[in-house]
Amino acid sequence: MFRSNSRGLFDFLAAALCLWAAAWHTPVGALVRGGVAKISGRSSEGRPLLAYFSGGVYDAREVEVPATHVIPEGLSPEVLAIVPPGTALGRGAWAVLQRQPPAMRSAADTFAQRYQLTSLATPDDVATLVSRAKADFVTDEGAVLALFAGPELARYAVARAQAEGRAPTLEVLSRQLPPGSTAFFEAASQSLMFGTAYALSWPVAPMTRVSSPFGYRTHPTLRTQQLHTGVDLSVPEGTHVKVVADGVVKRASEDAVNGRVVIIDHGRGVTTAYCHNSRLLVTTGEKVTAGQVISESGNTGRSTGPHLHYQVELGRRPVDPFVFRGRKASSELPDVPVPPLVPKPTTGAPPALPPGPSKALKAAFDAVGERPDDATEVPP
Amino acid sequence: MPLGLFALVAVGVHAAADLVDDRVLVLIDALDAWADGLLARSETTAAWVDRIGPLQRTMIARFIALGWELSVDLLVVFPQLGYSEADEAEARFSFRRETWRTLLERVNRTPTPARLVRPFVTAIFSAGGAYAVARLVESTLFVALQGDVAPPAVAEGLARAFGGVAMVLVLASHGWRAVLRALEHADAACEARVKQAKSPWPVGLWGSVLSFPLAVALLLEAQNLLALVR
Repeated sequence: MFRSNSRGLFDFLAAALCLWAAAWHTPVGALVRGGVAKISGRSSEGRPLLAYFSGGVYDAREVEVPATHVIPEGLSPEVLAIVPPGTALGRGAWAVLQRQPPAMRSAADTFAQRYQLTSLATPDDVATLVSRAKADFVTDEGAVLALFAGPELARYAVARAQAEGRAPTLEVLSRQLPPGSTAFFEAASQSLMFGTAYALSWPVAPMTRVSSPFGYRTHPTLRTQQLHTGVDLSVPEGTHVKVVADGVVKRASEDAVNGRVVIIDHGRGVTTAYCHNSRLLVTTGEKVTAGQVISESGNTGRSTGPHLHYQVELGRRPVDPFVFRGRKASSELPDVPVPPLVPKPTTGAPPALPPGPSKALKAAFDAVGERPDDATEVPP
Repeated sequence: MPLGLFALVAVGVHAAADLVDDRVLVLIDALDAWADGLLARSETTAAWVDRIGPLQRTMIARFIALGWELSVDLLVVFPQLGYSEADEAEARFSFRRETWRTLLERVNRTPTPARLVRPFVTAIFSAGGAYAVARLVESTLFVALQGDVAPPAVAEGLARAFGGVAMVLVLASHGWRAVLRALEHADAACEARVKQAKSPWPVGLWGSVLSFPLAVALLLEAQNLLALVR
């Protein structure tokens, strides 16, 4: 029914372009490419279907790795724990850089030379590089991307994001480069995620006793084997709970399990949760700054005694908060030794605190960053 | 050509679905919080609380977005494959020649949701798809040219020019055809219903209902098009 006078080379070209875009930009295209790769016996370069909705950043791995794995694929807790001191972002990027192929590491060294750095041997070197490169690439995201993808690609992506009138976040930047750039964005994404996690402080006094560590345990009330997705910090009721980094309150509500709970989104795929509080001092959507008191700890919800359940999620997956509690740079908080994990309680609820010492302890705990003078642990 | 039309509109639909998946996640989070509160009231169901973690919620939200996208592909984009062109001689001697004018006259005479919504959403998806094509051409060319072939500034200029040309080419060649095919398909479906002495209103209602929010989400991001001239 349509006229045919416009058939020709241009139509063919346009159709070819559309098919090319569909092959790389749609889940249907991914299915077709995967099918073709399977038939021809080659490995498919396609992302998992659901990864087509994330821009491939901050949670690119979550749809590929089993849910119980606590650290994004390729980086074990041990690797992270032995990262030498340096500023948080430098530590994150350095840890990820060590896992990259030699060609990418060599390109990163060349990039470092542009900023008068001889090598990227330590996290401090990486932190310095990111700090200097930020002047050229507008944001940390742009600078970290430049580290892995090279300065030309990063500069181009930042310029195109700005042309679209958007802030150059990693997700926006990821849409500016062709599909073959996925590896760069995954590396940058992990760096920023870990960098943000390394910068987290602690919600209560650093030496607070851990009454139940992260990991699988028999649930104290349900008596079933479950993953304990955070750490239980033994603090007296009413202790000030301080937010561990800048962020936005994603949830401030109450339910019968988590009690009064606050969830903070710190950006770059990092969220923290604070459960069983007695009183919430923030509301959903509120912006909070590091160290701000967001709640008072308590014993609400499914809890066997006063404590704070503190949880850290990376890429929407819970991780052990102690993984990111190594030494920090001298300009940040003083060094804090990681307390030994305490065996899980065997039976029943911990006994209630006597009223006198509890008040003293609460005051001590409220001075976050300082070790309480008279007690390092809640008395049994 | 039909495959090209299908691909163009499908790319636009994915661009839209990619925009709404975060909103779906917010809804899923709220629903989960409500369900957790409900389950926690009883000791027997309390064990199910937090069974669906943030990772699962994200996957559910993306599954919904993916299902939404595939549904729109099936109901709205799939008919693009029915596109066919008749040669001039054939068109000259045909009894009934459908043109923009005849189709729009019927839209004006008996407007139905399908006749109104389908061309509108297809136009939006086509523009979104053409922009995605332009961005792909531009970024691929930049990556290929920069470095040994041309200095970054030259590569960027060339890449942007080709990206713009690609968008114009795709819209001029495929954009209007996709809209016309959507209108023609909606019209044919409505006419078939009228011939059965039934109301044409329910024709393609699901497709219209599912595709309209996606098109609006994409329309709200229309400022991105300005990036081609900035």
